[in-house]
Amino acid sequence: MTREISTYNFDEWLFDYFEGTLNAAEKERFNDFVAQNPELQKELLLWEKSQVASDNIEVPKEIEEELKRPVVFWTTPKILAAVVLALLIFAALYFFNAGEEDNKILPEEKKEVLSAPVEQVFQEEKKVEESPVIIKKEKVIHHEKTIAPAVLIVGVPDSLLLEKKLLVLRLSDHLPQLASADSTAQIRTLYIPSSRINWNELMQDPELLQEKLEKMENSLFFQIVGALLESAANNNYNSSSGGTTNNANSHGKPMGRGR
Amino acid sequence: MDTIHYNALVKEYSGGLYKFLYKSVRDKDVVKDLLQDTFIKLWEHRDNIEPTKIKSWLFTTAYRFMLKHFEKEKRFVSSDEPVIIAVRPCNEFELKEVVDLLLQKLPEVQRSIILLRDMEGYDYLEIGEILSLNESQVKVYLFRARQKLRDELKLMNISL
Repeated sequence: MTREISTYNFDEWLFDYFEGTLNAAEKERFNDFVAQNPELQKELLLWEKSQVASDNIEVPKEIEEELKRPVVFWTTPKILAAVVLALLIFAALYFFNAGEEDNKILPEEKKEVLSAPVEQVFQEEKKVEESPVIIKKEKVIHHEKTIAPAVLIVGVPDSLLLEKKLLVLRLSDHLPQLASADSTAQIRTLYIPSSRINWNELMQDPELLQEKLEKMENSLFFQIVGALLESAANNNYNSSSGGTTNNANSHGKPMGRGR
Repeated sequence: MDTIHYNALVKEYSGGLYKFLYKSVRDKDVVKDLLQDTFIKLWEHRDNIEPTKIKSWLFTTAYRFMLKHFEKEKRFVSSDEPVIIAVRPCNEFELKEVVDLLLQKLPEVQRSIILLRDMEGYDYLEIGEILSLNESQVKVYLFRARQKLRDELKLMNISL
């Protein structure tokens, strides 16, 4: 059924014509009808002009920029994963180094520890004088941390250094005491050859130390000589003590009581 | 949708939305606010929008914000105030301006249909999705809108 075209329904035809919904035959009939009715030419032009033109209105650049969100580089999953990994590595290195720092002592603190009163050392020793091992618990002053490790420094005669296992067994009898004394403290046990210990620096009053040591009936082989750090004993002692690495000999009597 | 994708959508669609809103509102500050509201909502709902529907979602949202704006405006401004155009266009450029102004005389839904059709090239179905109308309604509204524009131009007795 063909669709009629007239002045009454011309607007509908106009609409369809500009919407592009007329088929070829309808388009031909439409054009013929407009040609036969020149007064409709103006209608055709007006309808055409009433189309809204897609003009050159542009969104201002500053508005477009304001609409955007800042790109944070870690929002990309791969980069986020890399950042997390890097943070984990950093944290691991930090805590590892922090542990290393705990084994170090500042020069001032070292001096303070080395010059600890002998009385204090032997007051502690009296409590365990029946024991074959004398234990001194000392808190290492840390420049940042509040929990300081308890450090056991054991002077071991060079000849017995290899018998470390035995030494550990004996020391283990006293570890609970240390633990109960300060539950937050970590216990470190350092075994240092007696010959490496600088007794002059450690004890300000060698005679008094000598006297005290004479009373230590059971401490034949081992002494707790104060709080030192492993790094100081291993690395710094030789250089800082100026050749006094074997003070047992310089005192005439071995401080290690290794008879 | 991450920030990079979102920014790409801003770049792609902000221009079309700006034109659509500006031709209806004709106030750059208001258009800026409506545009910002639209894209803020896009970011807030970014995980719930189907990627293939983002463009129509944006226009729907912008249209709704625009309607809210007009409702607010009507509380303070008399809606009976007629749009008077005292210009007789004598060239194509002026004629475009006049048509843009004549759009203001159309109801919001008819104006939006014309803009979506002529500027964005949406078909009836897509326009219907954006404006919550069926295809027949879109066609009827578009027809009426064109007739009104044509009649307004005829009244101005412009020379063609």
